[in-house]
Amino acid sequence: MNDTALFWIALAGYLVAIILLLVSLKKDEALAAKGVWVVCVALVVHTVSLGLRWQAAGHLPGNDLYELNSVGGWLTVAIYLWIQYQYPKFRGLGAVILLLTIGMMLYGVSKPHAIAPLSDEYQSGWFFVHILSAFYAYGCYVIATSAGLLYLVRHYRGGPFSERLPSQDLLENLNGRLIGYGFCSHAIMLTSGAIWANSAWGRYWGWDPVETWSLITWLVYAFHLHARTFLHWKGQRLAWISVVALITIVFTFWGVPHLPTQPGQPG
Amino acid sequence: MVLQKSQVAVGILVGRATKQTVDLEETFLFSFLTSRRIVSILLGAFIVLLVLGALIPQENSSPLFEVNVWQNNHPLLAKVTQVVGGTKLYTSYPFLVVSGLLLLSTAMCTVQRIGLLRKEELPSIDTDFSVELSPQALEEGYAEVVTYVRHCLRKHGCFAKTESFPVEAIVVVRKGGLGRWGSVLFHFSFLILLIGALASVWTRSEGSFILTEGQSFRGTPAEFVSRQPAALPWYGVGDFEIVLQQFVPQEGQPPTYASKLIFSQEGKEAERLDVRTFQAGSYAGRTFYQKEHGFSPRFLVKTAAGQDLFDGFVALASSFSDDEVRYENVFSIVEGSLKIEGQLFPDAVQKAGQWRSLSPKPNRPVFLARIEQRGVPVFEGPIPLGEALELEGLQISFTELRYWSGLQMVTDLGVPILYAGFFLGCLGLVLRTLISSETFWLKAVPSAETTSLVLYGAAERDQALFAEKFQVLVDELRAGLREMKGDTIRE
Repeated sequence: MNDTALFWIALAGYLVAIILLLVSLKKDEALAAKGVWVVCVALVVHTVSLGLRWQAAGHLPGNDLYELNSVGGWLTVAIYLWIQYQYPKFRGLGAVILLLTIGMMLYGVSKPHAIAPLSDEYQSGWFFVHILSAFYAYGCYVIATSAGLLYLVRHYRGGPFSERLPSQDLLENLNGRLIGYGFCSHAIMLTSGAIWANSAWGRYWGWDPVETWSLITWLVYAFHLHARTFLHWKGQRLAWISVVALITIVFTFWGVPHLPTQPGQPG
Repeated sequence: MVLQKSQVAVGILVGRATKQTVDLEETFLFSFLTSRRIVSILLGAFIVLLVLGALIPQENSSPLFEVNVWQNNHPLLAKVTQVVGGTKLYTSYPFLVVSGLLLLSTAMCTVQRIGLLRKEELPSIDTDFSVELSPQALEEGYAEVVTYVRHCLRKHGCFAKTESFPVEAIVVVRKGGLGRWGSVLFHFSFLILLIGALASVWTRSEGSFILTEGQSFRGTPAEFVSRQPAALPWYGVGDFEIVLQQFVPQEGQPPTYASKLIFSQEGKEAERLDVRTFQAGSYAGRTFYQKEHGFSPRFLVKTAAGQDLFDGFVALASSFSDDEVRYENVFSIVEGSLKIEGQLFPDAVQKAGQWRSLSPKPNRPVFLARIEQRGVPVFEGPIPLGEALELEGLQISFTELRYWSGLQMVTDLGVPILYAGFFLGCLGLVLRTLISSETFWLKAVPSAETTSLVLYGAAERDQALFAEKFQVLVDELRAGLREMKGDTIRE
């Protein structure tokens, strides 16, 4: 069985887990635990898929959009499981996270993904620091936004369904905490990217649109953290900022390649 | 002894606006730059400028043809943006002023944060956990209870005693105090990065040079093809010699190249270094980048009497287009009054009278030459590698073909400072995000007949999680105290 087949099995596992987690909100609470177990198994399959890819390519996956999104999805799910372990009361959160993860993985697999040797451009330790920190950051942001979305659901829609979701305090706490982790990793991504660019092209920063949008996203998250700490903003305002910030990340991936200022091919 | 209640107290220990006593902080500029409103406006303006820069092709960072295409497609918009400086946004005054003020603001806020951390402020909170002791019990059990509370707190990882705590308390312990300095360190790293960037601007010098395989370079100013010296002349060119041992083109898409360099100092080999495309190499504080490459054919020009007029390599300029690479040059040999103009086909074939190269590999090199002697054309045609051309009174041989490599040498004192800023920033963020400061303090609150011992807790952040932990601690204390003083506890 090759890595792509395992990738699809993992993706199917995540889908089954979403169904279980959603149904658990309406009916049987025990289904939530089963859903988390399905996520664990799917993550193991996903890990094997990435391992096979690594072995076949001879380099850490990160050479094309398929590999990048697969690693990103894997990290997001791993962080989610860690959060689920720390905050067992977080029911329903997994469904939103897995939905966003599946979207990311499907986008990646829709792009050409034949195994290719790593070009000289990417053969740098700094590059791997750059992409791993990027996806760790994006994983944290996805989970933070999921918490923000659930917060908004609880805020705008009362009723028994909302009551089954985690408390607003916990959601707000998770939102701020994960954005803090993501922001930290995002800063490492930006700086290691600059160091990598200097070693590859002899310049730290070229103001190209991808770099600039990545900086814009980081600043939006910086604003979120400062609004929380110093302006004492709370609740729905912070939740909305985290949603807007995630949209700027999505734009960095899908929108920036189509800007008139972006040289070369999309992606 | 009464166990009263167990609520959780949480609060922000840092980041509150307090009146500072440092003179600097009373100045208008300091207040202006640390004003939350001003910082928000600056941050917003900076983001807007960045968005504009990403949407409008920039003359000094976007490829020229893309700037032209955009200007042709949006003539009116292009004209307006050009007039307001929007096409050179990142060097425009509004951008420089906003980013400069933002950096200054970050610096001032860092100073302010250090002040706030040194003068910590406690949240005003209600009683969280209290143990009420009767006068008799106070005499008998006071020390025992305090010891037990201290023991429980230690079990929860709270060891450090804090000095200069603003509240009189019997026990004050803190966990994760280092985490509170993480954010200061992170903001401080911006200043280091700024210093590194300034050092880079003032000390960065660049020079390009080309070397044919086997040739050496000693770094004299005349040997550079182009050179951009540093504003501050701190760095010399170097006291070492570089030899290009071999140039290695590599398969792949896009194709990449490597220059195998040997560095010598005082005539002794010091180091061997491979400089590849996208992978710079460093030696003695200089960084080398692989930039260009091409071919250097070796020509031998002899008179009919056998006297050598010229024997040397001529580097051919490489020009790249979509479907081919051209290697060509014009050079003169003064002694023979010769002017040779030509193009090299490294893997030559002739089809329909036209020469072309099947690949960039030097499999069948042919130099297609046009030779003039004293201004008169005397030959036009191919000279294959290893063959000689007989002209009137002269013999011109194409004896060898080697690669040349174009390298860029950069010296930059800002790099280590930038790296230091990077690592400080990372350390600060790791401390900030992984370590949350938690403080517990125990106070004696006397009343008319009894004295209560009240335990307070405060977390810098993650309050919801802290609330759960505090509850666990309270439950543990309650159980332990019941065991110790069971018959005297009243619910």
